[in-house]
Amino acid sequence: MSFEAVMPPYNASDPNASFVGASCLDFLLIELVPMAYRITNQVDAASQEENTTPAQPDGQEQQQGTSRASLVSGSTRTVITKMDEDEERDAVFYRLETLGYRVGQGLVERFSRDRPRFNDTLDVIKFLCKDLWTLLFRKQVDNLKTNHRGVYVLTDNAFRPFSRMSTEMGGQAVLRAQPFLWFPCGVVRGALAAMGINATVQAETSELPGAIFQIKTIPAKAP
Amino acid sequence: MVIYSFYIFDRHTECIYSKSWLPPSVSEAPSNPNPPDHPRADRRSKAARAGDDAKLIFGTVFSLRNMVRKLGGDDDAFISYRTGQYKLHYYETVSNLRFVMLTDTAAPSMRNVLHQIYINLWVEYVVKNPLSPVEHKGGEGVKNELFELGLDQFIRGLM
Repeated sequence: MSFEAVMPPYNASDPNASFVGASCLDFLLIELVPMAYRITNQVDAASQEENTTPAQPDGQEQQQGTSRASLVSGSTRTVITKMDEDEERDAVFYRLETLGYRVGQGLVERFSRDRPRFNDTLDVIKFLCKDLWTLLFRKQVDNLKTNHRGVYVLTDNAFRPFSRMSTEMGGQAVLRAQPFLWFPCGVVRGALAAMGINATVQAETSELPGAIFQIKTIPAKAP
Repeated sequence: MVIYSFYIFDRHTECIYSKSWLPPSVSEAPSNPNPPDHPRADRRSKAARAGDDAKLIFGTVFSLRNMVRKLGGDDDAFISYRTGQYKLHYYETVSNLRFVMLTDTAAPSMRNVLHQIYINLWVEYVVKNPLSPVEHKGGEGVKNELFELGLDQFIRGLM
């Protein structure tokens, strides 16, 4: 809800700090996922049309009354089918993740400017778990685990975008919640990249409103 | 105080949510020594009756609201009415959602309660729920677990 008390990351010494309606951001984040699906499907439909039209034999074009069967056989010859579920999922993931990546990069530039250099990767991850997480989700990550070989697992037991998410009984809430993790994934990856750590980020949820982010750093480019 | 039932109507006048807190025995046994608390306990199937109730209630509040406005000016709104058997409370939001609650006759004004349901439950768990659609055709997305749980707790806390 709006009109809440101002949370810690706000400090009077930051002259550029300003407020934005939390609901505003919530609604934007909610709409992001269906929008990504819509765009992906539109782009797919457009590319399909582009690919099928030249394949239509000109003879068939002339007779408007041609039976449907011949038209269908014309279009099946070009082996373009509507993308399947996995392809759609990947395309949407890519779209949302890229968006988040850019946002994460910007956020780091904005909010790390008064900090000294980070000594090692763990410092960066801690900054992510505490400062950035509070900025983004108004709480810190609940649990951070690492195998000291470049894998970090962040557990948030009450991931804020999931706090109001629910469906009717048996509505596959966990499954339907998955796409809402992709943008935050991108934000995390972008933030890390901006701080000099290349990583892959994966997120999953087993029970709402919890979320688990797994960060695998790519060692060759580690600082 | 006893709360009998609760309804939400969207701006397309469709009943998108209804819930009854009557124990099934009370509403289904007209032979009950006490007069049935529910205003319309007739002999048809429960689901059909609930649907009819919702339509009747909407018709009633819609007409009453219009009548009140005609008599009292556009700013006037009706808040509740009472019969010998029950009291109906009405709250209309700026976004044209209509909240209706039926209670016993002695209940105080529930306007505030309906407002609380609107801001704390509807807005939080339906409007801000990423898995809930924008339009709730056929009640889609309203009957989600958090909303149901919150509403039930809230109402039971009042009774």
